[in-house]
Amino acid sequence: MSDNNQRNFPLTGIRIVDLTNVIAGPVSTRVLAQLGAEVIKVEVPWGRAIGNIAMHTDVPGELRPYNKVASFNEVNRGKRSIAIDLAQEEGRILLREIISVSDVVIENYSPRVMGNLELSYESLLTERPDLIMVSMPALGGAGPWSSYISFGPGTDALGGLSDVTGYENGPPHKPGNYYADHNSAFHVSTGIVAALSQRRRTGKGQRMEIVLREVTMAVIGEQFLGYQLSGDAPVRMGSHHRDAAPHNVYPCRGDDEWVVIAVESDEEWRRLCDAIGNPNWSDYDRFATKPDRLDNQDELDSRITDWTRNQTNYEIMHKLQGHGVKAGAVLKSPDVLSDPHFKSRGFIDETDHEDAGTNHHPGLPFRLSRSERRMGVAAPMFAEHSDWALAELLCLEPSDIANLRDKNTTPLEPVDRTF
Amino acid sequence: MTDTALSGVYVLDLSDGMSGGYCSKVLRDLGADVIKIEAPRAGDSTRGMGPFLNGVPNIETSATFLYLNAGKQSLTLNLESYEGRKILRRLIGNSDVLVESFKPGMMDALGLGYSELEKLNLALVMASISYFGATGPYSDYEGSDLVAYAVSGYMYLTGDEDREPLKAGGSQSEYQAGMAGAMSIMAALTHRDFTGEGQHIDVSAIEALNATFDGVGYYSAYENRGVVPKRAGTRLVQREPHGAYPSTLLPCKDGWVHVHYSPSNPEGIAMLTGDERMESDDVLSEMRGHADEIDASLTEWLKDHTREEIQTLAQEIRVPFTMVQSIPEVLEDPQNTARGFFVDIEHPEAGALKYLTSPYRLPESPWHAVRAPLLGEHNRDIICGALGYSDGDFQRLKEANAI
Repeated sequence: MSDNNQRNFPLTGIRIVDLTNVIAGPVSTRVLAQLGAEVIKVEVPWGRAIGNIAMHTDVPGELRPYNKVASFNEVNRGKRSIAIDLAQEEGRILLREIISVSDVVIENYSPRVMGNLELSYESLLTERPDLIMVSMPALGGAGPWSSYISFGPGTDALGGLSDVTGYENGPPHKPGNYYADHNSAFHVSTGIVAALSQRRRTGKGQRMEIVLREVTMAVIGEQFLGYQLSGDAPVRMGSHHRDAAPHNVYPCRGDDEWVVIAVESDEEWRRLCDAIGNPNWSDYDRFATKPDRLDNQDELDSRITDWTRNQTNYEIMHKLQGHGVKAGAVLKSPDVLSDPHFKSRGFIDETDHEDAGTNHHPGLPFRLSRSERRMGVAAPMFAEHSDWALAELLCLEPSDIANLRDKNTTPLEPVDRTF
Repeated sequence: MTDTALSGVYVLDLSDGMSGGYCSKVLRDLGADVIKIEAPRAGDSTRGMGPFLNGVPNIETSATFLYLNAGKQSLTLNLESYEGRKILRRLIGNSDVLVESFKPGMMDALGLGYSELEKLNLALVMASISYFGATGPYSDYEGSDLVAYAVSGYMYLTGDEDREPLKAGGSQSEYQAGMAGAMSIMAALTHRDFTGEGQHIDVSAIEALNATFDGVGYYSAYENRGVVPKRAGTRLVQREPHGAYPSTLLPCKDGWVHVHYSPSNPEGIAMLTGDERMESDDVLSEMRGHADEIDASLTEWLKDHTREEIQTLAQEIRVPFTMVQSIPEVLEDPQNTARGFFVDIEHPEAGALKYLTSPYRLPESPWHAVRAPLLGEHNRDIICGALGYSDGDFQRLKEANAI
């Protein structure tokens, strides 16, 4: 890890102990690491397979495959790593010592695990009275479903997001990928910085709970009020809009190539007509006003499709935008990588990792005019910062370190699974 | 007064629409004081979005406005008038954070660019939220939730493989842009606490949605393996045959459920369905490769059971199946009820409704249920109270259409 700790990061001096796994938790601390926090990833001693989720590796080869897990290397950029066997008493003591010199602990185990490991918030306060501790249960630490387990996509279902996502007249759907996890990640990282700001004023830490399902509900909050106000439960409408037409995705030249067009006002509609050359539709009047367009939108979509299908999505986006019409190409991964706009903003993060090679990742979606961001720093290798943590952070004696290594309490290479 | 995480942080929300509204809502949920600055007469555009009470358009009963602006104050200002801008500049002098979402360049055109405002308040944190960001070749392009969904790459990942890409429900690019705004504002406030200096933040909605691909190898899958991540129905995008499965939606007796493999009980699905093949090495060693077979086996069992039975039976053996609930059902479910996640708030025109509480549970930073403001409800408090204008001045400002 390149050591650029002296630079002008907003969160310099904040130390975070990261006990989280999979996506939501690690992404929240990745954001904080890229803002300058020192995040210590506490890993299990047997390596980086996440449950039985098989993850592809960044580069092939038998040498240290555990350092090449693509997902791990992406969500742990900019962090430090130590492996600790928490099944051992010595391991739990070691973790408590690290926590005693840290500002924040974050975990996303199911609610009972931290207690079973004797790492409850109350017991950690003896190490660090002003500790900020963050828990990220799926459904909440209290309530009749508190013991239920769910991953992010399951909270789309239980929280209502699946119900409002889907094709017209089709079944419930979900946003692709791990939307709920990422949504909770940004809520968590924001909450942590807010709790730290309160602690600077009051000297008090606290235990923060952020529930995956509740932040999913928070980003469709208007749906709950809308239903109560109007008396109508929301209906799935594909990419159409309640109050705008045309508003859809249209096929373009090429294989699986698409463009979106979003027109709301009659003025925007006239601009769209100008852009497509004022076609001489005999029944043009059927689309003149917004209510007309909403009433006849399937017909309208098919007319627009006739125009889009022989041009590329980029051509259409640029042409329509030139007329002040909201339009956007549906980009794919290679498109984003080569897109001049993304490029010019330097959004994509490039890392060089000793075992995993050069890779690209999504960066931070904001730029700060006076603070720097810690971009371009790869994820740590397994236990890469173990020596640093034991010798420099905790100032342990060499004989104590040797003892911990002998017992595999904090190994430098993955060991066989013990629990 | 009780202390909150953001006690003493004063936010001016000059934005229009959902992204800035959610940004300052998050800050309000964390305890900041927020003044929503709105255009006279029509107000914030979310007041026109609805859904409305009984379906009748009314700027005071729009669900989108009521949700995003609960607990904020409303001040109307006409920024095209000299007096309106003067009031804004005075407020900026006394504020910590300014959120805006005009098209890039508009604030400069109004004489309210950051380089001007920092002269008024060196410690000001100003966040500018836009669809494409303030720089780059598309910065002056017209954006919307749908456009951001497309250009970010997210739309290509949502929907059925053999159909057109699909937009997620609601307005997710607006929410993610707002969230990125809140995150970066907190970082900038921290920088300010140590240095005394504010700064300008440039937030892009397309980047905020693309940032949600962290951890799936969105770029590395293409660069290292030539695989272009693509939508896969309700299954997770881009997995190899030996990847874990299921994670998808399937129909059951009375609706749909989300079914998910169990890392702590891989044989759990076979235990539920009685289909022993589901615990065979053949299936468990290559779950995604057997996705169709797993779906078929599960569907056969699911069709005889209700959502609630399925969730209860599965969760008892630590298999994370969850119900697909409708919006009306979520409002009433036992977990939300037990946690008090929805609370009644009375509003003079919209009546009593159940509102979401804050998703932040911070014992040292209690959250208070307060309704959304009427348009310009706090004009007099702010202009005469905080800024010290006289009643006569106030009348004159109204007549001059400055407020």
